[in-house]
Amino acid sequence: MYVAVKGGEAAIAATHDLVAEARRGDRSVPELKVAQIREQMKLAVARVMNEGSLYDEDLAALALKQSQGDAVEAAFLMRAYRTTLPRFGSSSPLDTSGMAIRRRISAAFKDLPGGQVLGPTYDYTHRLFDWTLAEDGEARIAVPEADAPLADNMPRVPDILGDEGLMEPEAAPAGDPAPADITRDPAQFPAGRDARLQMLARGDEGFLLGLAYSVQRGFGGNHPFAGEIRMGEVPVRFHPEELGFEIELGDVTLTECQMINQFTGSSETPPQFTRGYGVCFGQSERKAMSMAIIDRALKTRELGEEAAYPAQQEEFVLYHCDTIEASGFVEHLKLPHYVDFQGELELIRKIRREQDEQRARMAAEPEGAEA
Amino acid sequence: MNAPFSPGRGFQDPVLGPQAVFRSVLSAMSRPGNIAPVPDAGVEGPAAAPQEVLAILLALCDHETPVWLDAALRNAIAPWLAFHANCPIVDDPARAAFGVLRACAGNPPLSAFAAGEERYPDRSTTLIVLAENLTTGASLFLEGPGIESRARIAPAGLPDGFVAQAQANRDLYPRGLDFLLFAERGICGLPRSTRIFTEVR
Repeated sequence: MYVAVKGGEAAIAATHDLVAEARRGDRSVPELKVAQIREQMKLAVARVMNEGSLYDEDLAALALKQSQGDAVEAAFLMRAYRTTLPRFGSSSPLDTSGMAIRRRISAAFKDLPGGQVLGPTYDYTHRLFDWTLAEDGEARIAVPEADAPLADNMPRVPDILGDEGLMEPEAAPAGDPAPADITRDPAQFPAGRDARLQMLARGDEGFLLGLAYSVQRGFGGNHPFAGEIRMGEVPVRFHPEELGFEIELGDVTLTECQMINQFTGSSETPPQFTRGYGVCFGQSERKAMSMAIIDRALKTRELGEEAAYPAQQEEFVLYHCDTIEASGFVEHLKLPHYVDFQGELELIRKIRREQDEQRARMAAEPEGAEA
Repeated sequence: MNAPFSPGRGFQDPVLGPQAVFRSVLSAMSRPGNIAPVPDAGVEGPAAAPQEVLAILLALCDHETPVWLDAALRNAIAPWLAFHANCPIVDDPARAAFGVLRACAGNPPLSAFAAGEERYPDRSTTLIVLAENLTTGASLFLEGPGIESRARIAPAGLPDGFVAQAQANRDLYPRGLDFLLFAERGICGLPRSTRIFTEVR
């Protein structure tokens, strides 16, 4: 019994107008500029680039403006746009060891070559409101220039451990095949590490954070150490065939996290540290750290560990971490399910009717009248 | 190298341009026998190939779709195509996802191109076939999905033996090649599902 809805098209058109009105808010307040979002909400922009799988700060800022700050809706806009772009080729692998460092810390080593560079971080704020930000007028910023530039040599911490043979080596699979591309071939399970990392990189930050937290609380894991977290600019290079040499296309801002975990070793291999790796666009430390913790948790198969907890279960983690897929399915419940529901309603009424009739029949039978 | 490389122009609008051209290809393939005009999307490339054909290649090809071209065409347009689409140009027709076939000597038989696999019949070559026009040649009568009863086109200047081979191609269904005939700014789709007759049945 399908009930046709009249005037649907007009109502739907009206929702666009209502969104535009809601998005604008109080007209006496100046309208947001995309450039303001891009410059002054960089961390939101980073999240949208990550979960939208597209590095474009202006587009991400526009997406945030268009979605009234809803990061999931904004990521959706980015993903949709991504599908319309021509696919030109793949860059050379990005070399984060050559990053122009703006932040680089290690919780595992106090004194490391190149030193601890704290950079722009909220870690040392006291989480008290800064009321001066609520006043109109220019922010007072005074960052004095340092006496000397940062060290040229900032080796990655796991590479230092690797030299001693203490760290699980990060080796490309035999033959160095091209990595999987989950935007071309849907991941199949069991998934290779390349596909897993891609899915984690675009995964919802909240979901991955919760899972990483569960690992730390004992649901799957070993206690990780933050071997190194670095953030800064990395050049993107491309090798056009007709030129025969690499050209630099520009820089991207990346946050990279290497987690160091324990491994007890086996009869064949001596004990060594194992890695978790996380990398994402922009300054997104929480995401990179969560990703690294889960990368390690998902190595159960390769390391011969039992996948006892949700964070270690590949299909559970990877099927459910995609923001767009998750919100799509949850929100699809809003679509008409009138016929399905009508079916359920009829069924429940029928069962109850039959039960009532059954009870009435049994009550009417004289006592002791058994077959 | 001969003349210095000139990049010409790709799509005026990098998103809407390919979308519009794709739309016309889709229309041509969905309604075989109907001539779909190719919109002017601002693409400019070597004069050796019709500009609309270059636009179709830019819309459909990327770094994962190998393209087959005859030797002369390859010399003329391969650098331009590599610059704009970065698509691999292949010698072996069996490896081509797309190709441009003209009436000239030395063309491979259609059977040399990829006809797809049983499990993946779509992994086949789509050929853009250049004709002088679609009106003054011998009549071809078309029947099949997307055609109400029968359609007629009269392509002139097709590559030698094309019609007979295209008819044989139909026997491979659901495998087989798909064709886009191009002449005078319009395309006519001949997907593998179309039956081609040289006379009225």
